[in-house]
Amino acid sequence: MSLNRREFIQNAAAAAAALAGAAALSRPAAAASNPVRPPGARAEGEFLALCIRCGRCGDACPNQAIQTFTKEAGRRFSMVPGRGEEGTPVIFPRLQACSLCQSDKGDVLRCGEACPTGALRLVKKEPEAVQAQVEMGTAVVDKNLCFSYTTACCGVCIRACPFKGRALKAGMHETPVVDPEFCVGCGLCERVCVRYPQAISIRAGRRVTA
Amino acid sequence: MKVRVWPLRRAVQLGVLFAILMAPVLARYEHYMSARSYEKMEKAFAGRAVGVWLKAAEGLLGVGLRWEEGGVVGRRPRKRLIERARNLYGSAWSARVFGLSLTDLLAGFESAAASRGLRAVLVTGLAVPLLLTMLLGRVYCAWVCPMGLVSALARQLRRLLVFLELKPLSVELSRADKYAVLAVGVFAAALTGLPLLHHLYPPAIVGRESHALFQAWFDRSEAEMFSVPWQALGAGTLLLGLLLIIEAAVVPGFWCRALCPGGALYSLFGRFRLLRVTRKKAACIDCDLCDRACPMGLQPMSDKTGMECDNCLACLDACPTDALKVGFVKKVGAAAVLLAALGVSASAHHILGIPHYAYDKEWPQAPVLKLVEKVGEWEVQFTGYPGRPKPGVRADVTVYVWDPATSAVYDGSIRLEAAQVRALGGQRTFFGPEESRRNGTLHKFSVTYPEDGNYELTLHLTAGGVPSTLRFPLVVGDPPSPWRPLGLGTGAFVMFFVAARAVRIKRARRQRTAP
Repeated sequence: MSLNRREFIQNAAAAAAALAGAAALSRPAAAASNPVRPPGARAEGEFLALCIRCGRCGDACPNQAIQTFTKEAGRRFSMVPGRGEEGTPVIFPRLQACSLCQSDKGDVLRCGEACPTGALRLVKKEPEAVQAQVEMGTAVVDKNLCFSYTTACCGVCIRACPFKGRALKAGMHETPVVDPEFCVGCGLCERVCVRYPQAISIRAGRRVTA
Repeated sequence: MKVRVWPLRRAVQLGVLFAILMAPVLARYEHYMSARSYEKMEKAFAGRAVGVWLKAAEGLLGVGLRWEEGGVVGRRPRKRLIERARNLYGSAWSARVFGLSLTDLLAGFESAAASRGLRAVLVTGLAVPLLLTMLLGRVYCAWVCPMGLVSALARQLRRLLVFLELKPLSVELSRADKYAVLAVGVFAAALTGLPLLHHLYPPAIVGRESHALFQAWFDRSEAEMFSVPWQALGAGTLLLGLLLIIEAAVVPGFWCRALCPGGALYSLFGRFRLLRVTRKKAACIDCDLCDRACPMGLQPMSDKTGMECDNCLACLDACPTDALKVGFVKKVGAAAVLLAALGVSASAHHILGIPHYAYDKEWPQAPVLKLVEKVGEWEVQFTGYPGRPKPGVRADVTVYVWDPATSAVYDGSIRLEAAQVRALGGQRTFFGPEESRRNGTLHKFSVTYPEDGNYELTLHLTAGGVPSTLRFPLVVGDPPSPWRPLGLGTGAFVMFFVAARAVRIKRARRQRTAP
């Protein structure tokens, strides 16, 4: 099939129009929303570049905590997928938190094992490796809301913490005290918090390391 | 009797589509099993579509398994089922099948371009598809990609249009365009650091949309709302529908032939493929049937298949004299590549008492609704208990206003107004404005919603001396989608139009032949 110049230009224009139209259809409007990523995720920019939005980590997650980030999925938490974030894996700890595969067999975190591109690192399940490589976020306590700080002993979040005594220490009357150096942001404390709005919640992003 | 290839190809394509839909269901099945709540969910989902999907998952996983565990005959073999459910993750875009990582070449290229690097994990996932493409050509396009089914459907629709004398257009696009799309896409990914082509690529879209749909479906079903959450589908589904319509009415088969960036990549790697369609010149009668049957618009009759051939073997089906044959052109080379593909293994690497109470109705579930708005320095947190209330039952709304910088709590008054959102922007206020009940630092309201539907809750507060109004959307129960009557109406109209036109055409033809 041979083309003359006019046909070639027409074809190229049609291709460009189709590409632009589809890109416009799928282009999200909002700015970056800073969601909680699965454990072992690389720094946000690198993560978004590596991730191919295939959903394998979500299928592998034994706690079904990893969701596909869509407008509908984030609606309940005022979270709108930002530019380039549509279809990426995300965790809403309020809905289902990361259990760090603790009730699961095997010696690595399953999402990192499932990731085909290395957007999620392969993380061993030993506490030291998790501490070193998992940076989902940091728990933040709102002392105005927390039962232990305001009215009565509660301590539910401290019991849920996989690194209790280190990441989440119990103060007087079981008040939760977060140590940002050890907190990996798994969100089990937010998941179990009986207060609503949650007195303890995960602030996503790199955790503060000393 | 000639053996046709197309039924086999269609079966493979449908099987792949079924596996893509099944992957998120298997993941959820495994989750229920390991949470020891499958029996509970089975009961809760009985007689519902989600229950049928779960049953299908169990039926599939239980093939050849003895129903026995821990020496108890008749008990569900939980551990074996969980083990088996882990054999399929992902979709046709990137999948893990029985421990073997298979990643689409386009996915690999985009990821590598966007991150400007190539990781060992990715290389192991690309190895098998790459070797198979070099051996067999673009077989992914013809046998695996779900777009093949969309194209087939479009071809049938086109036949319907022709029958209805609606004269579909026939525009020809250059096959070279797809290489431009690929180049632009990979360049854009490298430039912006964000993959772009997965928004356009049908296998990626189908996988992503099926995951989003099933996740939303199961999440809602766990809260006893069983309607199919079509709103979870995104722009990708719209794009697939658009492709279907354009293929049927304007440019037949244009996506795979002329625009698909993945097709371009597979063509490049399939250029020196060893599995080829060959023609016995002596048997060929130059009838042109194979050229017309080729979905890629190639010419097998004059041996012009080039690198674009995807070995769909439609030409073999069309050939009346069996002049066309398929086979490996270099037997030794083919065997070597096949061995290499088999040798590559993709498994290159290898709660402390947290109860799974999420599925117990009795457990006081905290809400899964937390909407946040900012007013000046104040952060307004809006939660409802339950997160998605039922109509006719009193539901709590809790508002908490604080300043995250100073931890100060808002001390003024808050009033709440609740209105039902009707069609065409109409609203009916049925609650308030009412002053809040103070409970420590919280502001509480109790609202009883009259019926299933979309609601808007309006908060009035005075922050920093300025009266502010905040609006929060809330869905109550399981309201029918506003698009439903529109879709049903359009569908009924199209059916009526097609039927009426068909009757008219039949009658006209009969009159023409009668005298």
